Amino acid sequence: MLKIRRLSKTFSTSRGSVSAVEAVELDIDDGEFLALLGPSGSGKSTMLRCVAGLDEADDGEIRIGDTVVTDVGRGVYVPAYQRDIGMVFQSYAIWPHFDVFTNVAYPLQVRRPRSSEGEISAKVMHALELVGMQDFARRRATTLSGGEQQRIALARALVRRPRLLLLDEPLANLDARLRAEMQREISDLVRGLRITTLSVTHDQTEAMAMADRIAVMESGRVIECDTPRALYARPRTAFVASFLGAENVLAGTVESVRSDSMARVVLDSDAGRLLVHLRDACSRGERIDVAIHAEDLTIVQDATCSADNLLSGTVVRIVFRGAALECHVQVGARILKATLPAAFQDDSIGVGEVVMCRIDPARCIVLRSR
Amino acid sequence: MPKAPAFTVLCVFTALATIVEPRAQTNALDALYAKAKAEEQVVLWGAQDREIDWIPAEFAKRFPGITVNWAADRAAITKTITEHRAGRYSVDVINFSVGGMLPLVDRRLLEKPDWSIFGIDGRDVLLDGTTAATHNLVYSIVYNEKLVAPSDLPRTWEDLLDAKWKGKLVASQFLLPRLLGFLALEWGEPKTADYARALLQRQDVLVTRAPREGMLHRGERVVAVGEFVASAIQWKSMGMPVTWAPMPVMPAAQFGAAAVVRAPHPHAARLLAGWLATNEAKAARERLRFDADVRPGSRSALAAALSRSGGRVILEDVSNMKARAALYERLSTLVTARAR
Amino acid sequence: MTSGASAGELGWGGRVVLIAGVVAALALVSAPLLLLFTAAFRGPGDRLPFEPGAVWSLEHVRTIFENAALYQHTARDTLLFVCGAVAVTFVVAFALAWLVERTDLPARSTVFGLILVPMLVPTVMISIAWIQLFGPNAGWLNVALRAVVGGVSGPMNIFTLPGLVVCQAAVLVPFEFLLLSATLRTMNPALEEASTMSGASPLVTFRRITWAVLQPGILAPLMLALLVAFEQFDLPLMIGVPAGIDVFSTRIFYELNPDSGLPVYGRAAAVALPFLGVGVALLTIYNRLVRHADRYVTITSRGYRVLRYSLRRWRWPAIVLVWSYLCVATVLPVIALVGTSIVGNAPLSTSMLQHATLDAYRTVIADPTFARAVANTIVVATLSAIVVTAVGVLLAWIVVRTRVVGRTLVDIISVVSIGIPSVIAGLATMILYLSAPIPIYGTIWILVLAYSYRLAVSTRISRSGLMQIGRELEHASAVSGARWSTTIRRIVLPLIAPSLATSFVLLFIVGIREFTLGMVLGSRDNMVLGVMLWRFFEDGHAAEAAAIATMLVVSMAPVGLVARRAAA
Repeated sequence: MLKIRRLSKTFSTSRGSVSAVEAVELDIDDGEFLALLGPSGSGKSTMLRCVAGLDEADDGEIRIGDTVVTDVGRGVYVPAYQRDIGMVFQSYAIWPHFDVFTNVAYPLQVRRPRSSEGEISAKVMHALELVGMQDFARRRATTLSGGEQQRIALARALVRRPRLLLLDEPLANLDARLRAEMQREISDLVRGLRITTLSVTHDQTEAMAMADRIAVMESGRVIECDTPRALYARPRTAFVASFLGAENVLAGTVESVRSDSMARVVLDSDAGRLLVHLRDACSRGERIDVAIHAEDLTIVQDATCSADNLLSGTVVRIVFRGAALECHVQVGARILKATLPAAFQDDSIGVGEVVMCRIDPARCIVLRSR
Repeated sequence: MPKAPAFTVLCVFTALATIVEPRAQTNALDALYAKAKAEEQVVLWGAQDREIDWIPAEFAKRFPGITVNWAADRAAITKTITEHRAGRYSVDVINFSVGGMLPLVDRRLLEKPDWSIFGIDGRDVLLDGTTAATHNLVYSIVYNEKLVAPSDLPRTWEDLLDAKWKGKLVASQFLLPRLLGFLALEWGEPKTADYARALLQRQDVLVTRAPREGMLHRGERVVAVGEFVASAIQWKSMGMPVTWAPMPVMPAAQFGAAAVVRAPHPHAARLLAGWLATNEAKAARERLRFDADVRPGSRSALAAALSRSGGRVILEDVSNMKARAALYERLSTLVTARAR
Repeated sequence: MTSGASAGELGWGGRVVLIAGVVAALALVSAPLLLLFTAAFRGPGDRLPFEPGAVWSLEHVRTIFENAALYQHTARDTLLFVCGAVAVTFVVAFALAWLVERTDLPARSTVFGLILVPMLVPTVMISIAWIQLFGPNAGWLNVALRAVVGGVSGPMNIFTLPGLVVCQAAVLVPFEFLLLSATLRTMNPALEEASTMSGASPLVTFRRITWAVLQPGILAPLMLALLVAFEQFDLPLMIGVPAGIDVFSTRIFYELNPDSGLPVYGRAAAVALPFLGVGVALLTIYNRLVRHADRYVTITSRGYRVLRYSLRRWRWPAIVLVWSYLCVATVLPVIALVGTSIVGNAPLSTSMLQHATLDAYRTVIADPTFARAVANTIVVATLSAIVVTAVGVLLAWIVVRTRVVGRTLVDIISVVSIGIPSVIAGLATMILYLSAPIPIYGTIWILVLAYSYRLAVSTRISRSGLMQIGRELEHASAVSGARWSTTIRRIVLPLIAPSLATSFVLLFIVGIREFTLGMVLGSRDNMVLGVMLWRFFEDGHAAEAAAIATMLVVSMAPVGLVARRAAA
């Protein structure tokens, strides 16, 4: 559906030229929801705007369906308003001087040839129903709350049934509860309508919840692009690993390799030794990173326990997170984060206690050292 | 007493008197000068720079030791009244149009000095003894001599209504109504109003505040109606190909000098005001600024030229000022197009 | 304006500053206003309003307003003139502002500077330049055209209502352009981008979105343009009078130049009363229309990046349009001015340049008052611009951000200031300071005060600027622990700096070329360039007057560049 080849864009600022997007290649299938995930400055918004046609790329090609909308080499550039795209802006950009109905009807009103009033009205009401705002049709846009504006913006983007939907950090300004609700609603909506969606976000939980695939970007490049589960369980780089929740990244050296693809690793900073399961071949003495999800760390309070993959440490902090307990344990010179299920809610772990952290070797993610 | 000696005595006395009188005049003048010199300066206000900026140098030639501080301001009369009302007295002499000086006379803000010590004729003292005539501005027509042959010149005001002048005339918005006011005294209001309408509508005279000499020089228009003769002479001296032509009736606005009451330098005030009305000062004014006195008895070159031309000069007179003001009001509505 | 700082939030420093601002505003504007009313309603005509013998009377008002000609001619001419001039001005200024601020027009900075040039020259010289170019008989363009198409006179005649309207528009466009470009520069691009993404072409986006959202920011310049056009008298005097057009402002001028006796200030003031009425009416309409200004907030914490459209195939038509305008409004008049300065009033001919000489410049520079005049002009213009900008921003803040009682009155006072004709303002200042024991009469300080009555300009501009800043930016500062004065200093002022710069530049330029006030309050000590130019002009020294005007343009051109950078 959406094909991006060699997309590049540089901005010239007072500090010289900055490469915002560098030679990005991306493919999105029909009906797929792809999230562009990355920290600010990673180029994800710029990429979205290039696809939208709001910014002109310096190099590369963009194809929506069968139409080439951008081809810098051949001088092809279809202006934004002629691309069949719906877009939801981060600030919603609801027009203050129109009521809700007109805001949503606008894309139909400006289209040539123009449909009849009845057709427009029907489509607008249908779009409003999709987002649950059908009772707000005659309200003035300035009286809406943030969440309501967001739904209107979504209705407006969908009213024309575009081939491609672009979302620019749509949930960034909502409170947590609303955000969770909207994640569900938006993904249900676009799946039900089977609209190809490209979404930009810096929030990994949002990306994982909504997207079929995630493209992680950093400094203008796509580092990895895969399904949420794959990226979560088997990231290839430390950057992706830490961005997707495997916050415990320990550097170490391979001490010995066993035949069954298990290896023993000596961790830096006096953290201890770990037995890890290798995905790719490693040799002795090689430097690797081991990434571990917080929920894969189990706390064993019996300090005398001895078994494989036990790291000894001291609890330095406990954070209550409602459904889980977050435990920060100082192991060697590093602090590891462990997320403990509700079973530990009885305050049996205290700060300063010496505990053992146990990790399943299969849950250790081995990454090549950068 | 025998008759013959009485007669002789009479003759002697008369002879003595003719010698002593002027000397008495001169003595009075010297005495005034001495007191004025002690005051060291005199403050003079006029309407425009060019009317008075020549005075300090010339005055110093005759009465050295007194600095003339001059300032030109069209609102000089308002300023004087306002100042006096506020209890400030900064001006000594006013040299202005007599029409403009009327409000000062009404409010008794002008002195009535002894003009005779300057040898000024009583007929040249106006406004109830407060103002001595200094110069006139005479209205006639001014034309571009490169674009109008002398044979084609209009000889009368009515000639200007000839078809050949359509689209070729210009007039000052300030001066034209005043000219018409004077003409109305001669012709009566109905005839003047018709004349004005013909000029404005049929002849398409360009009524403007822009300088007419520019229009004439560039050839935008060729004849200026109701322009000052002195202006033409001045423009000519500046190198422009313009000159004036006489009309059968030529109105003359009157200007004069007066000393203000409670002047900071009262003697210098009377000295300067009086001097400005002397033949010597008038000659200097004509020589330097082309503004001349054309009252009867004037020795100015302009007066001579006017009398040679055969036209009649109508002097501005206090007696017809009120009538003229009313005529001016009504006729100016025609000129400013409010009743075309 | 649903919420705003109450007086209590301001703290003592804040209150003192605001009160000082209001007092200053009243002081600057009340004298002219007071004189206007007393003069209009006291008679008889041969008494000044404060003299013994003057009584309250309706005689002046009756004389003026019971005259049918006022309605048949003056009112009608004024309406045609003002509406025509403002319509042309607005369309041209908006198009230019749009092209310069919202498209990728080439050489934008140069165009910006050139557009401002006519503003640098006293209007009277601009009118002379236009007469020089378009006079029906000897205008240079007409002579040139007649060489091609033949004819005896014309084809273009500036002494007509269309001629007056176009010339007046050319004079107003720079002022309007400056204000509109400030507005366009600060619009939130997301609203337009959303329209583009909804499938609207740039034209439709402009029509349905941009125009609507910009309206509050456009109303102020439009209102000011109307008031300024109403007050204009230089051009109606120079070009309108010959065309038989009589407007209110020239009527005032007429009343001030009687045949004999004193000017009837009362009648002049009576004619000026409609100006105030118009000003108040416009302000009321403006207030009603921008009541919900908050929703048009365009600058928020998310920063903004100006959205520029690419002209593509409209590139060359736009360039031709812009440079044609610049030729007619800037280049040709400047040529006419320079030409007059070197050849005087000589008619257009092939041998004209042989008589060209720089004598006029030598005369001007050698004039003993010239150096003084230059210094005075700069000092007075700068100081008055600073005073008015400062007071203006304070007043704007009071009106927009506080809920203190009486702020509407403050607003009205600032607006009516522009409705006061400068002759009345000058006269009021003269009377006030002649009577007061403060020894500033005749010095440049009285000029600074007199020039500073034009509060409307800076208040309007500051108000637009303030309305476009989201209130939350100020709240964030307060919550961070900053006092009101710190918030103003570190948050508000930097964000409205472009508006302040625009206001300052505008007032500075107006101050440089002002001459009416200088004439009324002038003495040899406080001579300013505008007066010096006018005096040369009246004495027939057209070349010298044009020389001063040319020098003004040349020396003020960098100001245009600074304006661009400061406002960007």
